[in-house]
Amino acid sequence: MNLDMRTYIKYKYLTYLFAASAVFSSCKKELEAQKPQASLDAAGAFTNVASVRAGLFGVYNSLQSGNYYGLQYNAFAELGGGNLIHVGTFPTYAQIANNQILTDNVNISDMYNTIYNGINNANTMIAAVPNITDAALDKDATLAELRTLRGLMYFDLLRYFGGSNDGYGKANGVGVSLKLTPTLTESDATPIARNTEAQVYTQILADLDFAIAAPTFANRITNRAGKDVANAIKARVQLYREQWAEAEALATTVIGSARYSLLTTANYGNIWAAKNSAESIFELDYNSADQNSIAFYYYTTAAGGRNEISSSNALNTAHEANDVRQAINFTTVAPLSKTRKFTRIATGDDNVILFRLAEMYLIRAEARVRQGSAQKIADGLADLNVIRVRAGLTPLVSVSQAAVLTAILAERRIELAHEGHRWFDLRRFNLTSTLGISQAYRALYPIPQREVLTSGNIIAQNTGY
Amino acid sequence: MKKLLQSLFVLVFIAFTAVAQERTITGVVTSQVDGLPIPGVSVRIKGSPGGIVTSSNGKYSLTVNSKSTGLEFSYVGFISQTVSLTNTNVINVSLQSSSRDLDELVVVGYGTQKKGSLTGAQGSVSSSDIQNTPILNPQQGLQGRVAGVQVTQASGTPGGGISINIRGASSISGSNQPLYVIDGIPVNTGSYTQVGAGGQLTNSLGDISPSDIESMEILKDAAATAIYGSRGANGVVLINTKRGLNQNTKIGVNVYSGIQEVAKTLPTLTGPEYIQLMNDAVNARYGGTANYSDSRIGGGVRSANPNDYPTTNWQDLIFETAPITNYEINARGGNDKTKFAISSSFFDQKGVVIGSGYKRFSGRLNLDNQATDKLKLTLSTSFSSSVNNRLNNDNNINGTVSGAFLLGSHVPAYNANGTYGRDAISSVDNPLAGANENTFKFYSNRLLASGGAEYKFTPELTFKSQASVDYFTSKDRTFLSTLTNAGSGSGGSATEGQNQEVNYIFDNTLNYAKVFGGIHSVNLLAGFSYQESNYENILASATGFPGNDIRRLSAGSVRTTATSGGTSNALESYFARANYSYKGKYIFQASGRLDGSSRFGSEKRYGFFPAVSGAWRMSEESFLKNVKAISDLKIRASYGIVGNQEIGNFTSLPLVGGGSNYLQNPGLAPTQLGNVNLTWENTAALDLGLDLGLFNNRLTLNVDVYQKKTSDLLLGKPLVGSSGFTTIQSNLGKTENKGLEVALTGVIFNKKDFSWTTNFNISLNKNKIVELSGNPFAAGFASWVEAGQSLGAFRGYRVLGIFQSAAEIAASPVQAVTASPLTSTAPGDIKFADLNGDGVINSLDQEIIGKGVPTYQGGFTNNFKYKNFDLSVFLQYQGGNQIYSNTRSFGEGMNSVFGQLATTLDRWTPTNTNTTVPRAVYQDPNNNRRVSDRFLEDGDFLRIKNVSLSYNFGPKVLNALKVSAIKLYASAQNLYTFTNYSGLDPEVSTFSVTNTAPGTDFLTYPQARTYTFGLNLTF
Repeated sequence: MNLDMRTYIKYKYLTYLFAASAVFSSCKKELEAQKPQASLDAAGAFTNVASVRAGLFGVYNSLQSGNYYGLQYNAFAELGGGNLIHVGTFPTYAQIANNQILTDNVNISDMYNTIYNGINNANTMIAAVPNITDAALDKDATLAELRTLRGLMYFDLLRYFGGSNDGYGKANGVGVSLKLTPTLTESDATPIARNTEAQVYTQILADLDFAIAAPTFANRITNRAGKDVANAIKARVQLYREQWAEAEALATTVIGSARYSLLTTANYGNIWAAKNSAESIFELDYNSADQNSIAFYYYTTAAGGRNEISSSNALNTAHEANDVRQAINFTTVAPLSKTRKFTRIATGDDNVILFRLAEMYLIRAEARVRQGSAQKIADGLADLNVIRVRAGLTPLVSVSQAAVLTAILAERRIELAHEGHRWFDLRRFNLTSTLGISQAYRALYPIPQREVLTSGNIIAQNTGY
Repeated sequence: MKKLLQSLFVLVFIAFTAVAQERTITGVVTSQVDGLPIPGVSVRIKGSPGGIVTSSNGKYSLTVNSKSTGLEFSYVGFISQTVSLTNTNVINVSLQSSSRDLDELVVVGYGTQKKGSLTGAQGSVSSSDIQNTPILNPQQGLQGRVAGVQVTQASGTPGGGISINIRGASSISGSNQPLYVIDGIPVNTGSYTQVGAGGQLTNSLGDISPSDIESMEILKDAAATAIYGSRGANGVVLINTKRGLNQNTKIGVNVYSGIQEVAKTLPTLTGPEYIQLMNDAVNARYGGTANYSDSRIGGGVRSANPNDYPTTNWQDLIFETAPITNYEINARGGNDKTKFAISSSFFDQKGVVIGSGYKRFSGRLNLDNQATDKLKLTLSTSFSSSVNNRLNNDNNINGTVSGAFLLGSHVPAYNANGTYGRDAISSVDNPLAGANENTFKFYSNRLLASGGAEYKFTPELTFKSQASVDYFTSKDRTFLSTLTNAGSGSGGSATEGQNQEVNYIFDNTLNYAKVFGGIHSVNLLAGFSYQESNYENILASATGFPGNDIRRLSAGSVRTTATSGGTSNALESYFARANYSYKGKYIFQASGRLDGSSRFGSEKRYGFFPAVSGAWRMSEESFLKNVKAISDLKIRASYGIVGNQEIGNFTSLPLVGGGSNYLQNPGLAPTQLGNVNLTWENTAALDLGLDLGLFNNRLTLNVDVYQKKTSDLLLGKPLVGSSGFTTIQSNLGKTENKGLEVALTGVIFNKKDFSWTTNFNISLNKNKIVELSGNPFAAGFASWVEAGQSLGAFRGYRVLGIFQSAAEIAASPVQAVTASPLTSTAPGDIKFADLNGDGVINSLDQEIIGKGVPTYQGGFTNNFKYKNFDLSVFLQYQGGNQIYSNTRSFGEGMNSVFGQLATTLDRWTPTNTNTTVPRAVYQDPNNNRRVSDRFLEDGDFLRIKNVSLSYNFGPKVLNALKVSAIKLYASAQNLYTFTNYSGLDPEVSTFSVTNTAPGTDFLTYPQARTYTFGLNLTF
């Protein structure tokens, strides 16, 4: 019996050896068989309609980032512009509130990188779309949507990092690096020297004009970029460029489309309380499965927030009596000193309005008044009063050009408070010194130190930093 | 009774053998070391099962018959001895201790070697070193015990992370943790939690019960680790668990229980003092009559009168005296065919911070069976299950320890209506809320199983095959209550996550060992190994709960996250080792491993890792053989290339990732640039060693010097952000570690009633980043990674002093100048050094101000034995490092609403000018809080890590109680720490296991001082 047992074991053992050798040969295959499960190989990722559509939404996803419209892009313009105060703990926020930004401010670096990441996503898709042969994809319309978003992103870079100490669209304004092709390999990531502000505008306008001219590029739901959005962006661009007549015309196009209407005075708060109101032209969607932290950053800890930022007293006192917007811009019920524009702390799904009709009125008001003729000033004043009356205020009566412009700036502060305009408006009006900034160069945010160093100074730092 | 028992054994024995012509052999077994009798020695007849053990006075009595040829004596820690039977009926045996013996087999990679023939640098820790100490995991058992092994317990968090660097850290972005191999199974380590707590991670090796460990071998140089190829660069820890013995079953019961407490608290301001400071700070910032009630620091109505506020000592409320208990029962035994070891243990630790704790149940079965003369089967299995009650801490405004410091003492713990007290203008939560109200659990279950077969084709040629699985699964379950800040906004927030990692390992080795002509000793090993690891995770969360009673996702009204993922890697390896020894004098060894890894880029899939080494045992030479004093003298040298493949899965591939969704449409976006040349990190390691044994090895000295040059470091090569990517993973950069290790052991006294042994080790390591791709970069709070510096360097400004007057400010380099004096540098602010002399203090005025890794570290153990008493004193020390106290940066910041340390009472005021603490000013316009040497402190410490006193009961008691051994002991862990560091604990790392930012303290859970009492019973 013992012998049998041994023989058995020997055979078993031999079988085992054979099994082992079989495993040997299959191992090599196993090395190759390990594949990522939550990602695609970049080569061939965007070769069909479904993936191209997903790639398009991937670009919107870049806009949603907390480093961009998901919080910091707009909040910093309000914080640096004096509409918000810093009450929280982040030293990098304090730098922005104090207008003493260091070149290694990580939030600024993140914002810059995030916007360029979105641009690269757009570039990737713009390069991929022409290769799709499936007729189910409207290539022109898709390209138009992508280029509208790319134009917006380049403009957003310019607003913080470009221009001149005294505004935008001036001679010798500095721009940012224009990168229009996808980064697929390391060699595609070679640093590109910064273009001039004018060159960047040329590119932005080329993108927007392509979109506006694309025959099949229609208007879409409020949460996506359609033709009106391209016009609205362009109106804002032309305002910054001080191309007043152009800005006026584009604002008129959007206003005249009659697809948007101002909410009533009584319903003013519904612009934010209800999503995608009639006033909204382009509204970035958030939902409970795709959240932002804006309300969380505003809200007090007792209300479940982190209490990083609050509305400033200066913003509060800038309101005239009986302005319905005051209660929206500076809360007097808990949580105190916040805004009613971002309230969905539990679900994190406050939409972010990027363009709405009231801004178009204010753009046209300013563009008209700047053109200087008495008629234009009167027309501009009328536009301004549309916004004033809606806010429950009395119309302004005819005053000088300078006084109307001052009124428009003040109106923009109140109407567009918390929406990411104040810093740029002060730059456009060359009034950053009113914030106590004694160093004029601080009108431009520093290019992230990391970018300057990594590029070996090919991407030059803004003067002064 | 004892006699009866013995007789019973004898009877049974007789019954089995049932042969006539019997006689009784008696004798005493003593130890050669001290001549004392050894109780419990297994005595059996050669070739027969069963046997007996010696009594408490070392005596035995055994009946043999005419067929019996000899007696075998074996006992743990001694060399087994076989004595042939002669006509005499009395056989007294003196057993030789195995512990210092050079013929002792030590475990090496994929096998064993005679200690004397080792050519590599390797240290070891045995079960006896760590007995009586309440260590929680294997890593703690290594602390201070082996030269060159730096163990950093990141915090006192029960079940928390622990970092081990063997001979310094060489990787910047990969892992610097050694490879752990338990009973031949390379195991998964690290942290598996999917929920961040602010700083501290979890430690999956905590699943290994320390009492199951027989020994740990630490492989340090290339000669020892090259056999592990692409995983050898950080060293290897071989953990061997207790196996069965050829003895009658011995049952052991080990219990210890004790209490833990915090060794230190930090004084904070009282409530009124805090309000006074805030009044000063707000007034300094806004001028006029501005004070704490000012709306510019936050809305609402507040009194500025210090006397209106209570004082809450948060530390008294969050720290508690906590119990710790461990129960273990084990049994070991067997015969010459089958041996077994089983154990089961339950460990229960409450944390010294309220709401935290760790429980572990573990069981183990190790079996060995000699199936035939040639075939041996082995099985090693262990299962463990743990529950960790975690806490938010460190860099977390909702943390418990962090809240206790960051929330001012002016806030009452509870309001009159019973709700948690809070500071309306601070984002910091009441530290009691999170600890009391939240669910924050981490469960882990782990099965380690390995089955092996060893077949001896000939006495020289052995084939060994082992198939193993490491199955690890863990579960996170958290619920943030609506009674906490973190949960109130979302109506309660729950997250549940589950993950698992399964490793399959299949090892095959062929070993040939033979001594030719008594001169040429050859040991050859060849092997093949395949390993695959599959990781899967799922994570879901929901908010909006109907109160705090139902805490499961199903009750949440808003489902916020539902995600899952999976990743894998495979490693295919061929390895070989040849060891040749000439007359035991000249020893040469060569080894190599070819590793193919799925992690490497398609162009660099296979890597070869060779090592050569040699040793000269000079003590075997004729010119030393007669020198009585020198019992052993060996010099060693080794050189080899080892790798580090812990570079993450799929880092070489260009990827487009999902999840970039918008409008509830699926979104895709590029996530990673590919690099086909991506490969392992490469370390060329050189070691020179000396082993000296004097006076029959009563005094031993081991000295090693080493140099590790690491290249091809895996780094994110920085790209301009305007490319859309910020980095591409590349093999760039170089680091270097150089060091010296000295270990000294000695038997100072060895008398009958009193003995004293001592063990001292010190190691020095110098780490340098030789080359870094791209720019230096910041890490952590104050750490800085730059070529030419040590990994873990600190960088910041230098403090010159405090400005005493406006004139002094005017005459000094410009710091903060604005239109308003309220937001400009003022007297009482810190004067920073203008390092580049350009008249302006800006970011260019920073320099390296210290380093977070120690220059030297080690341990010192003294064991005293007096009669039945044993006293062990273990000291651990390190030095040459600094600690950046971010705790002080906040607690002495005086710039915001955070709670402040009592040290701020000495702040600068016009009447208190002779101080190093600046003025209090809200928002800190001069940025006094910036990273500077102000918050950098020396991290040197000497810790009385463990003192334990034990008593072994003598034969009288043992006989009366009918047990074979009873030991009672008392032990104190972390008894006292000598240090100048002002924080809670100088052994700290707020970033848990980190390469780039060690030695930072930020409101980290301190290690406990633990007193335990234990009882070990052996039946």
